[in-house]
Amino acid sequence: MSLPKWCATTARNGKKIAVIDTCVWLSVFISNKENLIDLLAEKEVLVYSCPELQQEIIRHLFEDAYFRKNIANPDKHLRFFQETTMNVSIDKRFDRTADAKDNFLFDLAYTVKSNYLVTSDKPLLNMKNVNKIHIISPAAYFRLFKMKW
Amino acid sequence: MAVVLTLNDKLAAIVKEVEKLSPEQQHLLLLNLKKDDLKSLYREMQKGVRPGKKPTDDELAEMVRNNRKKWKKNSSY
Repeated sequence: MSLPKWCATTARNGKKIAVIDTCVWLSVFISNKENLIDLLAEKEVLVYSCPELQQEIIRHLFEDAYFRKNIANPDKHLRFFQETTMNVSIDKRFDRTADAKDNFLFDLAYTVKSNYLVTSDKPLLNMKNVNKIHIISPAAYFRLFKMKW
Repeated sequence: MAVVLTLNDKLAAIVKEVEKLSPEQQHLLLLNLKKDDLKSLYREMQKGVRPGKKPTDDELAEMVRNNRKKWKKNSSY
């Protein structure tokens, strides 16, 4: 009895490990971005989360005025986020972002050894690279897999 | 003599193989197996989203940045 071949090779494979910023998740929630599921399931991309990121997603879904008004079923959105990400605890050590409130994203990327931080946030995108972490837009990340955002 | 495997034998063999995988590999295997369920869940999610003009990715990023400032004043980050 054998499992698919990719099981043995996919984990820890460069571009296939990513951290996705809250703003990108929110875009997935409100727009039609079903492609994300294909990216995860077919291209075998591992997307990580941490309690800090999850907490931020929860607060947007349940407390932010725009999302409270425009999303009637936030529990389903949260379930989708939880089922598609691997949750890990992070070490708090990064302190080089212009806005200290972004540090947890880099801590998460360092913890899981991700080379990609996917975000739409201009100040973060302007940083371009931090050591081995490439800060990249969702469209550019999807292009790495020849897919459309 | 041919060995006939029952369904239980086959399932037990699969479970044994899955247990050998790392948590990351198990997560990916699960994503692959439940892809159609995730698509159904995603379509259900979309039904709860009010139709109309949506904020752009830039506007969402700005919204998150502002909320981070508002919400994380007292956090360690």
